[in-house]
Amino acid sequence: MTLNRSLLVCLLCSVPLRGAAQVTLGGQVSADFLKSAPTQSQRVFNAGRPTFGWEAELFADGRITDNVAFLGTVRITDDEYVHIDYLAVRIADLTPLGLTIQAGEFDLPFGNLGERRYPRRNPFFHLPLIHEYRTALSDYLPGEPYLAGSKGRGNGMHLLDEGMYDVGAMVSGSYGILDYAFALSIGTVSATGYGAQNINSDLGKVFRLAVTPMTGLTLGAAYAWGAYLYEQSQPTPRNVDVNSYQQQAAEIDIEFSRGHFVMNGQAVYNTWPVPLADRDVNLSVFGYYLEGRYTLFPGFYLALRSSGLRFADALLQGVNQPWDYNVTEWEGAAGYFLDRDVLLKLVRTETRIWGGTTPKDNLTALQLVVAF
Amino acid sequence: MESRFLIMYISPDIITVQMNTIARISAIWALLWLLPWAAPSLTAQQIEPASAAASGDIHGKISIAATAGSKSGHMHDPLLERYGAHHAMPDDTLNVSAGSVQTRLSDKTVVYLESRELNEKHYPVPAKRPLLDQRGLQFHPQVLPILLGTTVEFPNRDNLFHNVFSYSKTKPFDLGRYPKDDSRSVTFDKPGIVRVYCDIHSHMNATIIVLENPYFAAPDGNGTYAIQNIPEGTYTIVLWYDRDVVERRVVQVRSGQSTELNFTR
Repeated sequence: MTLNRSLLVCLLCSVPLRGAAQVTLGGQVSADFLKSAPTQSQRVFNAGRPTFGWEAELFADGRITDNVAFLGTVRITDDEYVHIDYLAVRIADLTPLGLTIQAGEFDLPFGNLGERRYPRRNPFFHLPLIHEYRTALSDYLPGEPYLAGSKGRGNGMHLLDEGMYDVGAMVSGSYGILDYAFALSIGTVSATGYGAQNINSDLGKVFRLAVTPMTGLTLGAAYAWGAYLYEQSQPTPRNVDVNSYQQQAAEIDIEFSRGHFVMNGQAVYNTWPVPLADRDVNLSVFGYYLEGRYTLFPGFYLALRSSGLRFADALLQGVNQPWDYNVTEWEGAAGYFLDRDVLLKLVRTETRIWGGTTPKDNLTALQLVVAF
Repeated sequence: MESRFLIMYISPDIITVQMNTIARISAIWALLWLLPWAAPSLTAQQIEPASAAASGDIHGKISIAATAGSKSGHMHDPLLERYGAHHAMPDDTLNVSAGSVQTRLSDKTVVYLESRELNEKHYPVPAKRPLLDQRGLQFHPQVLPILLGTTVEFPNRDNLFHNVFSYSKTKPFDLGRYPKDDSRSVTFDKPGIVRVYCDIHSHMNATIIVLENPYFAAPDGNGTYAIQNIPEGTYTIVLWYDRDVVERRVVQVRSGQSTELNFTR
């Protein structure tokens, strides 16, 4: 843990000791059994060998005054790493505009993933493909031969960096049916500063606007931009400042629900300008997912999700071609709540990678989630 | 003899009853044990169907200190805190005032009679359907006693979706999401406890107590309650607060009399 993160933890942990904050604890624990196809792609677990896994999220929230609270989430995974996903102070409903200010570590307001980050609320096993699939592009200033040879290897950045947890500050609020948020962070949506210090001199910027025209329907749009390359990559091939290479991402999202049906979707268009030895190249990708969940009878649901990544053409090593293999993924899930806080779900994922040596992958996951 | 077993079961709770009530119940207790041959006839007499002449009332006041704790109020939803509305969530555990305690008392407190004899009779289901409101991201009331066979309405008063559900064995149901001023209903055809939640707002919870007799009451804002027209007899009166039974006592109902029974916790 770096020094600034240690200080942040100490600062936030000291809050309840000094005041009359009421701290509430909670969490989720999930245990899963996984079996994937015995292939070599990044969607394969343990080379296809059947595997057990687990994950725990612990929440510690406290209210210092009516308007001031701190929120903390620690995630522990079966690789035994401890991730601090959320550690922020929130000042809510600041007069006269009713703004809410949040500082610390939180998830960036890009899209509507929301509480589906957590197994208890995620009808599936994975996050959507656009959050988990690694592209061929690294933020360590890749050379042209490396870039052209990395298709399908999964060595690079996500389109959206898993839960997009980052360190920064955010202002948000509502005006009638409109919700808005603006965040500054040390990373970008695909190269967050999660678990690290700022990698360059620029800050990531995210602006989001959402409208709820009727109960049960929310439409959102967000735009994010910022430098994504490591400054350690300097000097660039033509001595251009890495901070001038600004990633730009735009998205639209939808959430619709009625009766026993809930639907969520998101479409993202992103472009990374990349400095090569003799020129710059723009690497663009379009990603999407659409998922629906239907509750058949009390406690039992079926869910389906379709996701994809479409990589634009780029001129690499003299060939104009998609700079990574396109990906299509289908996920089907059945879940049953054994109790209000105990969810058992069976998920099947089928992944199609349009190129390379392992075009088809699949994963079957049985997951038990307990919330407390 | 069943009445004796009933009294034996609840006898530890007698110590919490006021002294005059203790004396009265002790006399009955002694009578039943010393004269076992008399018990069947006494019991049979007490469980005669209610009539205007052979019924009585129970009334009293319930006082529960704010420090007694509220399990439902402590139900915290960390995901709603992170991804819910921008404004602060209503949380009655963090802003307790003297006035609000009384208001919550009427929302969370019920007294009812337990009696196999009373339960064996059939009672007409009330024509007016009781309501379990969803208002201000809370259920109101948070404890709802109903008679077996009653249909409960679940109106949504908030300007957002709620999704009322229960996985209780007594009555599992899922009403789905519906908007403000819309309502769904459920008929409860088995006695027991039904824990009710909202699938969207995890902190919201309520309890429906499906009872086999109509002798129950919720206190008013001052904690005053009354159960009327109870057939003469000896019963167990149960005080339910928030999520659980907090006290049981034996009470004797005498024809034409109103028995005062206060609860303080």
